[in-house]
Amino acid sequence: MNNPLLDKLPVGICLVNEAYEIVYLNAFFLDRMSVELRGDALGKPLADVFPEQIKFLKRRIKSVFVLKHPSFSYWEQRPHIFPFKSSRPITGEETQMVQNMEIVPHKDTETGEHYACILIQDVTAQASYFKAQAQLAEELKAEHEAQRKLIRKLDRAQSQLIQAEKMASTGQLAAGIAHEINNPMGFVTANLNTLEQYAQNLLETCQATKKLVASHAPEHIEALEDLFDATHVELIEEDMSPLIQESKDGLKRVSEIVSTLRSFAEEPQHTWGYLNLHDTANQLVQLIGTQFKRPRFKVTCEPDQLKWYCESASLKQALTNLMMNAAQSIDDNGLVMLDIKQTSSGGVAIKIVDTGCGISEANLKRVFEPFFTTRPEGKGQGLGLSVAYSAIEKHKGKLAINSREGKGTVIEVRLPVLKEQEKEKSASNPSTKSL
Amino acid sequence: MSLTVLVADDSKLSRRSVIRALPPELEITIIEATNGKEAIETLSGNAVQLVLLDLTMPEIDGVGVLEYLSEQPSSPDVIVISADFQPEKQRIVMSLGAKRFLRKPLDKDELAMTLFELGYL
Amino acid sequence: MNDTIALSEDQRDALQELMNISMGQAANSLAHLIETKIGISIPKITAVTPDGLFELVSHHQQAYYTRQSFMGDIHGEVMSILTQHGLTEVAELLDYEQPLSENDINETILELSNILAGACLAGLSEQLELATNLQMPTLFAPQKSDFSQYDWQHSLVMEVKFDIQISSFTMRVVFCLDDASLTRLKSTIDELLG
Repeated sequence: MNNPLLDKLPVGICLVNEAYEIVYLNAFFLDRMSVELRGDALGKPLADVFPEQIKFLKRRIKSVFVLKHPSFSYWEQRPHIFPFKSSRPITGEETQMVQNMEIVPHKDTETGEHYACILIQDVTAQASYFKAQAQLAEELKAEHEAQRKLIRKLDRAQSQLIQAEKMASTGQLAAGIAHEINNPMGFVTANLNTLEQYAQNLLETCQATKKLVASHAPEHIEALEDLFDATHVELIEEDMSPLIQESKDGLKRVSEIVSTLRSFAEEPQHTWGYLNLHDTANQLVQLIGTQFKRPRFKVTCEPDQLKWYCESASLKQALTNLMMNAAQSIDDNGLVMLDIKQTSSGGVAIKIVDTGCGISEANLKRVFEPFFTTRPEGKGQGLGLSVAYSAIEKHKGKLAINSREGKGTVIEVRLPVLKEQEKEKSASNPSTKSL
Repeated sequence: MSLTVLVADDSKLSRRSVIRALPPELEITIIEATNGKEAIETLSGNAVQLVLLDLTMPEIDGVGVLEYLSEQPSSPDVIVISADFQPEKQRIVMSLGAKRFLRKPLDKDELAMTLFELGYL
Repeated sequence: MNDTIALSEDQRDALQELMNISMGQAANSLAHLIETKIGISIPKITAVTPDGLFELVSHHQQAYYTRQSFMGDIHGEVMSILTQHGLTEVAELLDYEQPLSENDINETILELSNILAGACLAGLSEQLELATNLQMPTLFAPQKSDFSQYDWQHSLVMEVKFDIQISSFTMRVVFCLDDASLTRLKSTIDELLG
């Protein structure tokens, strides 16, 4: 038993005789025992040297002596049988050694005496690996669950977006109605012009009649004047012109609104082409201005009349949503600025600045979440920014938002030059390259 | 002096191992029985001096054979050889007149020692 | 059944006897250790496919399962199926204190399988003069996929039931041997029968 090789084994060996006394310990065991115990452990009862778990150990050793058959103990059920420190590096979290134990019967061939041989294996690393794996599996499961929730949420968002798309087609419906309004508007305007002329003619006829009666039949002039008074001809003369002018102004406004509505919504979806950003910005401000009377709007575009290759419907939608948010944020009088600038790299930077209520830091993190809204229930869908975001993404652009509560918000959209644009530019209009 | 031995065991393997374990210096005639009923039939018709008896057997088991023999005026020596050697079982077998109780798998030296003690060697 | 698995009547009988003897030793050992009487059924020997094996072991709803592999001259696995019923009493006999923790229960299951299955294997190996070493037992839950993944097409099932009488506890031990081990086992048995 005193083979020095046994001291080199990475396994603890402890030999116990039938009186439960220790007769051999290899270096693995000795090295891990306290100095006081180490010196005179041999020959001592196992119970004195290792009082921890002695009941369990004795039971197992008895079973080995009786059955002449090995007994096993697994770390999962009983991790620390002997009070050994872990052999893991200092960085390891486990301080107590995790052990697997096997007790095998041993018979000395010379003396015929029976022994129980306790073999201890340090499985700290495996155990912590196993535990880490188990924990990882647990985490993965949780993550998986979270992702599934997210997917469900996204599914819901998608169907909501489809709904939003439907609403965009409602915009097209509006354009159709606008077209229908345009027809009667045409003849009403034409008729009004004609009526103005007729009325003018009629008034002139009245003046001429008065003059004729005065010179040729003055005896009837009084009766005529009475008639004119009775039918308020003088008042009609005074009132007609401004009334007609006012109607004409009204008609002009209606036709303007209708044409803005048409030009903004009539664009078929998902078609790429050149969009005049300057015009679009002006139309947008005009449209929003009719809904939001309080803020002042200001549009700048550099260069003037900048045309941009894009999917116009979605970009317009994005700008509308951003502008609506800006306009909504203003309670009293304030300013909403829409600034479009082509950058040195050829891309475009669109800045929307408002002096409104701003967004709190906590909310700022969530503004791109679908259905996140600070507006009261039923007042906002919480889709505006997420729709804008996905539209900008479609253009490989970036959307940044900065805000300070009570001061206002700055939204910056940066759109890169898209390949198609370069291709088309160089093919059809090389001179615009200098822009 | 020739000795007639009845080996009663339902397992051929066990009968072989019992027969193989018998000391070669003994001059013996061996009769085999594969169950308790066969054993009793053999015992009633032949002069058998020694029975090597298994306990778990079909038809009539070893205990049944012992009970039969205990009712006979004279009976041969019985050595029970069984895998079931829990103390309870040994007590029953010995009370029915078996001379010895040996464990399966049968140890050659143990059988020789028993035969010596019983005066066959 | 292919040829390697087919057992002659004599071989089956011999194997049954060998198992019977091994089980007897196992039961006696355990009876000695826990000082109670243990009943053993006559071993049942069958050859089954992995699917059949699954059918055989998976019927038991309220059961614990362990498996333990052995190596050496013959290779295979021992499966033990323990009833949940009566286990508490057995744990008490094994000196565990009430109430039992989950670890105590698991340890009892592993210890019981190790003692009984181990003793069976030891008895079998000893009689056949084959060297085998039993590995640590582990708990497992049988799933059909486990069985279809086995790389042997047939396995020899030696099934025995232990009844520990003071409780209603029963345990079944199923030995599974691969084809090569079975061939070895058969030739050894033939020598003994010869």
